[in-house]
Amino acid sequence: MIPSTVPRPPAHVRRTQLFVGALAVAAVVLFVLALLTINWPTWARVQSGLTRNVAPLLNGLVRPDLKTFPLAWRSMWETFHMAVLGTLLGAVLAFPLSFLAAGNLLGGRPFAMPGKALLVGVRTFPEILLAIIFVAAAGPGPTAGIMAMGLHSIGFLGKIFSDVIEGIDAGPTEAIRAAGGGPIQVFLYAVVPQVLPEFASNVLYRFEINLRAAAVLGLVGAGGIGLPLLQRLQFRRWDEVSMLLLVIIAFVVTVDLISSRIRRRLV
Amino acid sequence: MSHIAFQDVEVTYPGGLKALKGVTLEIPRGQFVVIVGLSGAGKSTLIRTVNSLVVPSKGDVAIDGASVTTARGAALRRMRSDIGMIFQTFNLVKRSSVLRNVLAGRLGDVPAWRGVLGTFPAADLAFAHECLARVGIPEKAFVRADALSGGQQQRVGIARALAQKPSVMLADEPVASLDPPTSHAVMSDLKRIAREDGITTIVNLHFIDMAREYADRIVGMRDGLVVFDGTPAEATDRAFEDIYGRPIDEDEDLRGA
Repeated sequence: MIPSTVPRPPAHVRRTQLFVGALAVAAVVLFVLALLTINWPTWARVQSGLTRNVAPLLNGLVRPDLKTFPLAWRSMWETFHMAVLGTLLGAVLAFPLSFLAAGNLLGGRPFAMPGKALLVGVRTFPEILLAIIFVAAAGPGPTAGIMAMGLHSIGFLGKIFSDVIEGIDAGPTEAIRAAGGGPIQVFLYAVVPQVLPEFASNVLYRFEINLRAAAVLGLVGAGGIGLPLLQRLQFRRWDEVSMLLLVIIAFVVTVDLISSRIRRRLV
Repeated sequence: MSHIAFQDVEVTYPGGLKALKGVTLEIPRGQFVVIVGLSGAGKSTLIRTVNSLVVPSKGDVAIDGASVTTARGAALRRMRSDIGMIFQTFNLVKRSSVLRNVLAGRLGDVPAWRGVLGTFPAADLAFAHECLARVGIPEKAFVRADALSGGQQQRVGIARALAQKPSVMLADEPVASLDPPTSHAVMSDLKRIAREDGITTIVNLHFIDMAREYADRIVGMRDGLVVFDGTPAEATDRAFEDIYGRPIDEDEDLRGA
């Protein structure tokens, strides 16, 4: 027998539908508001900008200034070492923290809360903000950049490390405990062998990110290739900017290729 | 005196589930005991009270008269190092070499700093190799554990337990993840080694015919209680029907291959 009325969806389904509908309306309202708020440039301004600035820019970019190469190489080399030290600093400090923040080792989630909160707190600060603070504190130069990258990497790596730890197979830990192993032996023989390859892989990944970040940190005076780049951008020396950019791109691409190849073999 | 003594053991898990409702058993030294029963009957819980991976909420488990249940810290770890355990899912560190997995069995007996540095005394290394030879895979020492077949991985599990030089061996469904011929091979290895070394062994098993073939004594469990305790000869089909709480057909798959 066919029911006389189509059954209405249950209450929780209707609530969900209502919620999704409200979200869609809110998104449209936000979009319209954003369009109204922005100061759109006049067409004349765009035209003059294109002829006065963009044309010489493109002209310079396709003619990299070879005399700038030694400076570009030296700065990029410094940037590379900043990234190495920043990543190392972050990894070394993230290692112990991640175990404190993992909910499956220290006797339950509540014990991991302080560690997790600390890591979230560290991650909240954008790198560039940290760099500005460290430049103010320690003066301009690579040290500020390294500290900023290191601190930010702690938050990033600590979070990923503790996720990896929470994902391990609990079987081996039980086996070591059953064999009479204490906490340190469980850690060394059941936990570390399971997490180490993924730790290493993520440290390399963070290094790739840090190398790109280090190229920008110089903009706030935290060392590396960012400062010479900023100066030449301000003086509109597009040919020299071009050289610097080429070196950055070549370096970053090469490092990414090598690093991702190593990572594939690790995991 | 009995080697392992369960005295009125009860286990209530957080959440209220009563897994054991008062189990009393005496197991003499060197006996090969097979525990049978449906999933959820309390077999795994019972076996884990012997090394205190599960702590009884009432009652006591003692080995050679010394209570495991009340032992804590270093004393408990010392008792555990005398109890080998093998698991249904093997519980090997899959990325580590077979030898390193076996050496984990020596951890209870070497100084802590040796375990930290991973420098085991030559005698322990030799013994680990010997344990692998006893389970028939001496050539696999330097292979990664996850490169082995299931049967071979369980042999590594047995070798790791043997490396403890245990007087008690616990086996929680050791062959449930293996095919029938491999199961028989692993069970006969286990039985042979237990005989040779006089190790008191408790094994949880699903298969009736395997229980009859390998056990000195069969203990049947249902719903957290011991409902059968006797020799394989006494464990008739009628007795098993009682343990499983339903009739067993001649061609039913409860029998292994």
